[in-house]
Amino acid sequence: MWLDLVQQGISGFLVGSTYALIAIGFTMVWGVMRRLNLAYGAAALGAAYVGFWIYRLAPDLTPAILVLAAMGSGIVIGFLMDLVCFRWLPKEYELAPLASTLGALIIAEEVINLRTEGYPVSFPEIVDKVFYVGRLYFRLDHIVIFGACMVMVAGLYYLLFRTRLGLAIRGVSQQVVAAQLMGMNPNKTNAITFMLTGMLAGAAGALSVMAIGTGTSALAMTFTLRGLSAAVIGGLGSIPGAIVGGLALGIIEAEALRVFGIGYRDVFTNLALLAILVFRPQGLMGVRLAQ
Amino acid sequence: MLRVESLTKQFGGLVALSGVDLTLEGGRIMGLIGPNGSGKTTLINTVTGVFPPTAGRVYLGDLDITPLPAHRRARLGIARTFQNVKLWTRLTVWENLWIVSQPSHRRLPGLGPDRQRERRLAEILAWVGLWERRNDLAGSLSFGEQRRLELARALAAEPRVLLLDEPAAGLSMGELEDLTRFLEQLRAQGLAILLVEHVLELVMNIADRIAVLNFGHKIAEGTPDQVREDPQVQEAYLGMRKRSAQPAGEPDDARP
Amino acid sequence: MEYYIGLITMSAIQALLGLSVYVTVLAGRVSFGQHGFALIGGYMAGVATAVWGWHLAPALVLGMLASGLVGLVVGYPALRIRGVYLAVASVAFAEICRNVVQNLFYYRQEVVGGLVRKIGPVGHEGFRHISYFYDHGFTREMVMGVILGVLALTTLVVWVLDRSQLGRRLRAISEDELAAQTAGINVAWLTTLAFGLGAAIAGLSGGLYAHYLTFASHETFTILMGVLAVAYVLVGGTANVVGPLLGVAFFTAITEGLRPLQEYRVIIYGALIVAAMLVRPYGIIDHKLLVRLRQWATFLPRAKVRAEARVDATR
Repeated sequence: MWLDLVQQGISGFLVGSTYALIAIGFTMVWGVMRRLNLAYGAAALGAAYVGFWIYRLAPDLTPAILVLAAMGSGIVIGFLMDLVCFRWLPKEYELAPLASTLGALIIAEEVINLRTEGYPVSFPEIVDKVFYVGRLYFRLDHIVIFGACMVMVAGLYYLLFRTRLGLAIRGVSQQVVAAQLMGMNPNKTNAITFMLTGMLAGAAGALSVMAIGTGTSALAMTFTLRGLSAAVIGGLGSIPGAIVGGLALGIIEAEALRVFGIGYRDVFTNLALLAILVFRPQGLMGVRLAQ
Repeated sequence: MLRVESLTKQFGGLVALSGVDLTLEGGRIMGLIGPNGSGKTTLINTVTGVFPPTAGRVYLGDLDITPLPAHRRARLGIARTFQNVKLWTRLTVWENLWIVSQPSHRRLPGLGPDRQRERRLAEILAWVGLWERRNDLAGSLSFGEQRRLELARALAAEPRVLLLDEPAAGLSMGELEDLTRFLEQLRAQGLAILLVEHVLELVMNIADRIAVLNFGHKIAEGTPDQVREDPQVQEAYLGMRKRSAQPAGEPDDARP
Repeated sequence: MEYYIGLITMSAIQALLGLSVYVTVLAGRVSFGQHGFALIGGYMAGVATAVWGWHLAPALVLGMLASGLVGLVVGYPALRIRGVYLAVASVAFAEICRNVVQNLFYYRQEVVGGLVRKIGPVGHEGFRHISYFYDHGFTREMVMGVILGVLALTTLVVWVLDRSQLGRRLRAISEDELAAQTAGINVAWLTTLAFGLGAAIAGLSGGLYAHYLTFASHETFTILMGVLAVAYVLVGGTANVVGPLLGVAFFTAITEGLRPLQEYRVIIYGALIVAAMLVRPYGIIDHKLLVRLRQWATFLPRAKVRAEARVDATR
């Protein structure tokens, strides 16, 4: 029994790193703009698909091309999303961008649906190895993903805390007016934030789908819900929170699967999410906000 | 009529109010002054029930209202205005008053329009000079008009106690005269009024008594002249004046 | 002709769900999970008619009571949650509903023409044979009539509510909760009430939907449905009860107009939402437009403010 618990915990932990990547995207946009980009999960999937179609042009090259292509298209998608769903909408009204990103989510999911005619698409595997430590088994591709996530997070931290660009982003997120007076352009920083998170989304989407093996349009909603839940659990606006939330969500899900079976797994996960929202809305690591 | 005993309010490590005693009597205007951050708005917030005090009690008449939630206290007759006007901009002027007011006594609902209540509200509106604007959205009013609507809305609930948070800020000379006249008329009607203000001329002119807060403590209380002469008060204000002009007031919903 | 009957009926059901979102938006809460309440109402009403043999009207009422009750229960802890957090919570809630229903088994067996039918919720397979309309000889036109009638009635009720003191207080709460509280408005009670009411209306919509389709399952009440319900309200405008109706009409009209692009219907929905927010972010009917419309149609009373109540100003 203990073996199962730990085993599930480990795989949940590793899978959770993809949730963490998506969660970081949600949390960064929230942190910088106090807005939620509901289409982020769909963007991740969309970027993954674009990466796939590009990869298919030269399938003999390493699957890493897929990931890179996905990251590239993620940047573009992110930029477009900022433009259409945020920049051109009134700043004070939070419901309009919310609705708009919903529209984008619907569009993205359906475009994928139509382009693939509803058929699931086989994505290449990252690596096909599994190895054992004692009686616990580890999927190598999950470990690769985990490692990739850590690398990206490290890169992100470097950017945010060691570069002028990062300073601009943090400045705008804390005090827009003061930042403007110091010569930072909020439009530009927001655009860059979106492109950055878009890039992360591309990577997260591509890696996740490759780990799952097949891509379907329904994954857009899955990514969105998981990523958002993870971000909320960890605390919106906190990047470490997003990471912790993603890992925690992965573990909760895996354990719930083990205990309740596939039927009630999601009920349990959602209840956990609701509990956090009611009793600790600022998340595990968030700061108490006035809403 | 309204009594505050040893009122203390702490936000984490910050002590906003410390052992404040205050009594408001009907037909009197009590001024409350003090440098920024001295706890004036926190006092109003605690009295109206926005948050519970850390220690101390609030009495309305003989009733201990400390455990009551904000909306119950309002129903018992405590009304307030806010420093930053908090009108419902998407409702009309009339509606802003209407939803705050109560149906007239001894009336069965649904038996046709409540003329008594309408007449009461119409009187208030006319008194502040906003009757013509009754069907306009509150958001379309000018600043001075919005201030007047804030006051009208506070009166619409037929309060016995009125707590005014810096009603004079940003008013022109003419509007200031109007405000003074309003306050005098309200006092004549028997309301217990607490006037928190930075505009010292207004407070000194119209208040019957003045209390002074500094860093959450009440450092003085008395007639305007007494307060003016008090060395502790002078020092508190002098200290403030030395630090040059500061932005006005504390935020309304000062919460941790 | 058949086609249009189906179209109008579906639009009416969507409009009902939109109204349920509208009621909660009045209190300043946007719920993306109304399809969860619709699911509850649908299953409850379906069980009442198909398994217990009730008539439609009491069955629908039961559905409304069930979903309304859940709405009240869920609404209270939801008081502290607003904005984005509520959006997430409402979806999580609806997902829970959908999951629970997949594990629900409560049916009776019936032999029809040599085959055994399971009538009632059958877990993953859903709830089939909700055949009240069919059994009682309702034509498609009659079904449409019933649903339109219910929509009209509900719209009237919501309209009256909106203009009443309760409705105006809800709007005050949504705009400035602190001011409302200190002005004597019982924010907690009114908001919970709005939640319960919205849930009840969603339950009504779900009940009608289940009977119209003769089928209900976790797959008929999807997230897309919940999301579109919110979209109708946001695009149509939250200033007036006509908003959600306009929203539905707008979406239906455009997708119909672009009929040759049928297979892109869902993309059109999404694009419409995005475009609508760019052009009119506050909705087709926003507050300013409403005021101007009222100024033209002066025969519509704004509020019962009689001229004789005026007293000469003492200024």
